[in-house]
Amino acid sequence: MNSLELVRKLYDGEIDIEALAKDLDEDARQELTQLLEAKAALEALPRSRPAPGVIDGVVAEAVRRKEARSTMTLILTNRMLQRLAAAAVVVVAVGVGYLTLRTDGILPVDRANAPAVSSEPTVALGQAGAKEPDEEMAEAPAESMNFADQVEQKPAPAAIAASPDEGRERDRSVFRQDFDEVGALAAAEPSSGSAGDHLPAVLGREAFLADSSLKKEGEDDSGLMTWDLEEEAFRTFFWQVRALDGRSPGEDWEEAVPLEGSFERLEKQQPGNDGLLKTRGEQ
Amino acid sequence: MQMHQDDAELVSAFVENADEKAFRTLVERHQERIYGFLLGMVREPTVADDLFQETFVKAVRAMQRQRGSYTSQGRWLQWVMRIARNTALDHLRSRKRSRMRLVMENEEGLDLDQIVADGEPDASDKLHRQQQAVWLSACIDRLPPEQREVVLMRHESELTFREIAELTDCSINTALGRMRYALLNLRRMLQETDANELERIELAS
Repeated sequence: MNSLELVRKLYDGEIDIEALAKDLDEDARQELTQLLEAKAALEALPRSRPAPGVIDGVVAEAVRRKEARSTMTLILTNRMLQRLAAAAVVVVAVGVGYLTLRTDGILPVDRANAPAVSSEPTVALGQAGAKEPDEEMAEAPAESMNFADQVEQKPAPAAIAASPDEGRERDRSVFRQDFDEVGALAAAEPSSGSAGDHLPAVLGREAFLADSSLKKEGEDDSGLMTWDLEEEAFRTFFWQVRALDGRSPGEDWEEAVPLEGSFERLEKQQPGNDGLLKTRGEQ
Repeated sequence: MQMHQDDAELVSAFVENADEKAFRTLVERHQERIYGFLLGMVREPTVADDLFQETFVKAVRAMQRQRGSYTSQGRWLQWVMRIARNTALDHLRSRKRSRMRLVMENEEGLDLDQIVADGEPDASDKLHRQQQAVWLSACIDRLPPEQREVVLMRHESELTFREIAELTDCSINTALGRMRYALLNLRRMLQETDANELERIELAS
């Protein structure tokens, strides 16, 4: 039996020391005696207790911490609920305000829900299943929106075009159709306003036709200048249509004026339009 | 009724229901084991009182958070003893310099009898049993820290050697070996103290 086993047996509870000593040699028996003496001395030590009041202090502190934690949890919960309630009030107030403004007509109607108008202008038109803008226009109920709205919601040219030539040609055909309709409007309602009211529309049509002729004549192979002119012509046309639709042009009217120089080119090509240009420029 | 509940039930009653009596029962049940260990480590009753309180404050905090090393597996005492040990070691580290000075003085020839005489001026007038207790406490204090820790955990806290091994991060054989050396050292120191006492009595007479 080695020394560690001796120590283990010594603390192993019920042990017959005499029987154990008989099995040991002289050295081990001597060590066992020394261990027993030291162990007996340790066991004779009186047990110590904390000073009176320490346990009361420990218990009071534990209860205080427990209650403080419960209170803190309650406070945090209340605070969180208050914040949630405040957020809910703000959301409701904003929602009610928005609905009120929409009902009063101050905010525009959500056009995403308008029928037969594509809400995804990035779809390539050459793609299978995609509808041409003209088809969409044809499917849209005539009474659902006026002509200006239809023009306004046309997809951006840059997004439509799968290739520059294809997109340009398609836009050109759409523009022509729009101009024709404007011309028809002007002819059908000659008494709806003064003659000057329809002048911008005629001007825009002429400008567009002039730009188209420029492209067809191949004066700009890169297409950039031609495209700018077409866009400018369309912008002019757009605001003129708004004017025909009974809306005030306001400051936007100035933005719709073609770039300087483009009219001069038009004048050269269409000298019969001098008076009209001057009249519009004076406005 | 609560005296018959085991530690896990008392802990659960305190944590879940804030049962003050359950916690008091728990503390009173183990006060001697924990306080005896702390007193043996720091040798100063007032400091041991403070460390005792600090130990339970840490334990309560850990129990409330429901995290840390405590798991309700019926080993609450061992868990609190680990906290008590760490608390005592932190305290000893904080006063390491002064303690090292004391050890150096002892090694320089300040005999154990002088230490006992400083702590107990009237030791010679008290009963032999009380003298033995004081001497033994001083002897325990002179043991190497690892041996002193094992002695205190075994005799004051009544932990098994397996639990001591787990608490002190060593093997059971290491814990047994430390206990063996501690007992042999204590016996030798007690013999020397008895011899010095006998010599002093003879000189006095």
